Parts: sequence; C-alpha cells; structure tokens
Amino acid sequence: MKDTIKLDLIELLEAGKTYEKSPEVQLIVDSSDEALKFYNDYLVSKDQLIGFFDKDKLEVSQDKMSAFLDKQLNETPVNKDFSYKGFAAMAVAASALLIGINLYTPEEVIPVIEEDQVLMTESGIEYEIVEEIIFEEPQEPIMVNTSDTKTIWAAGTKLAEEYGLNLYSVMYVLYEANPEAFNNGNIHAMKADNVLILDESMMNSVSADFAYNEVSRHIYCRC
Amino acid sequence: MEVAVGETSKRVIEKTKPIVTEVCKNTEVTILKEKLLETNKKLMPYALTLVGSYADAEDLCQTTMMKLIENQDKFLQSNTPNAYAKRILRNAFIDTYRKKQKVVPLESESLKSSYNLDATHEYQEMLKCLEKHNEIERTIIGMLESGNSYEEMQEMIGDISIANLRVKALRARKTLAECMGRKL
Repeated sequence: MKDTIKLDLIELLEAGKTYEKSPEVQLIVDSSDEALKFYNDYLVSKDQLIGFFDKDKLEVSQDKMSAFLDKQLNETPVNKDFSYKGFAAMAVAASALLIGINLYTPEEVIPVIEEDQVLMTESGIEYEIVEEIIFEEPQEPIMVNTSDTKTIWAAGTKLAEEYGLNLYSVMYVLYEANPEAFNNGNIHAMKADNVLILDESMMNSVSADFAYNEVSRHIYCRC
Repeated sequence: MEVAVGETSKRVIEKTKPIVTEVCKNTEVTILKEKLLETNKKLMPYALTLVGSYADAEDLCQTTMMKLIENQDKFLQSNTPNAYAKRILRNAFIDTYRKKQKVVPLESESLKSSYNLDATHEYQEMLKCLEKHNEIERTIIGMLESGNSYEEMQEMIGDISIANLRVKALRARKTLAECMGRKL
C-alpha cells in the first residue's frame, strides 16, 4: 500500500468521514487487506490519543495550575468578585475632589513680602518685589584625549554619539576651539597625546549646515 | 495646560496613590496569570508527549511557569510567547532528564521510561511510538488531540506554514498508526 494512499485515507478520516458513511473511505479500505489493517491501526491509535489527551484531565491540570500560579504570584486566591465599580467610583470621587479644589484655588498667588522689600515713602508704605535672579551653573568643559582618538573624525564621531549632537558641529568646535592642537592648522593633522577642550553649549550653538560647510572647506581645500 | 495642584490635592494624591498602585499591580498580576494559564493549556499536551504521565507533565509545566514568572518581561514582550515557553519547557525537561540520569543506574531503557511508570501498558506502547516522532510531530499530535487549531500550533512551533503543518500532521498520524499496528 502506497504512502500516498495512506495519507489520503487519513486526510478523509481527519475530515470527519467514516467507513460507514463515505464511499471514498470504503473504496480505499476495501481495496486490500493491508489497507484494512492500516485503517484499523489508525482507529486504535486515534482512540489511544483521545484517551491520553483527555480533555477532562487537561481541565483538572489547568485548575491545579491556576492554584499554583495564585500561590506563586503571591496573590490572595484570585478574587473573582473583584469589582472595578468600587475602584471607578473612588477614582471619580477623587477626580471630582481635585477639580473642586482647583476651581477654588486662587490663580493669582499673593506673594509673601519680606521686610527688606518694604519701602517707606511720603505717600505711605510701598513695596517692591525683587525678582530672584537664578545663575545657571557653568557647564564643565569636555576634555578629549587625542591619544584615544587619532583623527578629528574619530574624536568627533565619539563625542557626537555620546552627546547626541551633529557630527560636523562637534568637529567644527573641536577644530576652532583648539587650533594649537593641529599641526599648521591642518584639520587632518591632529597632534597626538593632546587634550582638546570644548564646550557643549558651543556645539549646540553652531548650526549643522554652517559646521558642515566649514569642515568641508577645511578638509577639501584647507583654506 | 498646566494645572495648579494645591496642598489638599497633593494630600489626596498621596493618599490614593498606594490604592491605585495596588490596583494596578493586581491588574498586572491578573493579566500575567491569564497569559500563563493560556500558555499552559497549550504546553500541557506537549509536556505529556515528553514525559508520558499527567503528574510529571504537571511538574514540568510548573517548573516552566516558575521560569516564565522569573522572566515575565521577556515572556510578555515576546512576539511568540508560546514558542518561548515551549523552549523553556523543553530545556526544563532536558535538565530534569539529566538529573534523573545521574541518579538512576544505567541499565536498559529505564531512563526513558522512568517518567512513565504510572502510565498504563497501552499508553506505554503509544508513548514508545511517540518517542519515534520528532519534536514538531509530537507537538502537532499533542496539540491536535487536545483541540488546538493549526493556527495555534503554528504560533507554538514558529516558522512553519499551515500547509506544511497539515502535511506533517498527516505523516505523524500515519507513522503513529503504523507503529501502533506493529505493537498491538
């Protein structure tokens, strides 16, 4: 009996056809003793499989697993009666409270007047509000050791990646801020074992197009 | 729009924060549990084809679930969580099998059948036949018999077409029937 015929028979049987009801199945099974034997073997294996992968047993296993997971996930047994209504009501109440409070919160906050802000004038007492001046802390300069990176391109790439900046802006600032670090002002001839100093704010302030043109000019015509 | 938050509002937020956090945590746990249970439903038939008894299959699935909980981020973010879980189960099976191999003295084929001691004689025969199938065929047989669709099998197995799965299923059935015919 050819394998193809066996496969055809299985396909028919898997599709729900039976010997009793399907002439196609009858035709194959009755064609030879071997086909009949194969048909019987198939039925036996099918019965075994159905018995083995018993759906009831699988459901019991699933329940056991559910209990196991409850334990593992440190849950109190899953509260199937958990209602989102309670939580929703609480959330709505909290939101309403927040909105209510914000509605009655005066928008203009009356500043607290310090003694040194009060001035005595002829017309009476006046006060002036002295605005607080915030000094930004200066950013620390970035130091680049040229022993690690032998070309301006390498140094620029590293810094651009590190600070998320435009490569040409970084290269331009590196070159402009450290002219002494290049032999004869040649952008290709960066001196070894030098420390380049540059400021992040400078790199941010240089436009990418401008930096690209300047770096290209130095690279191609060295002018 | 920036909303001014008053002191009272801050206090309300502070008070409700733990409750909200707890509810969110519970929701996350529930989602994880549901996903794990869904995966377990598909893993169990495969585990059965490997170990042959419900008790051992349950143990194996529990070990797998523990590992999935440990790696829940990977599991939840995976595009093919069931395939990921199946790989963990297979590795857990190999680990357990190796441990048993160290303990059980090397005689005959007792190693393979050591799992199947509580299975009946008929199932023993069927399991011996199943052992002749490769991993994909075992998965297909197990999942098909426990009522999974070809799409679900595809998700479990991974890179395989439905048509290919159907052909493999037919061939696996044929091989199993032939094997059972010789045994009975």
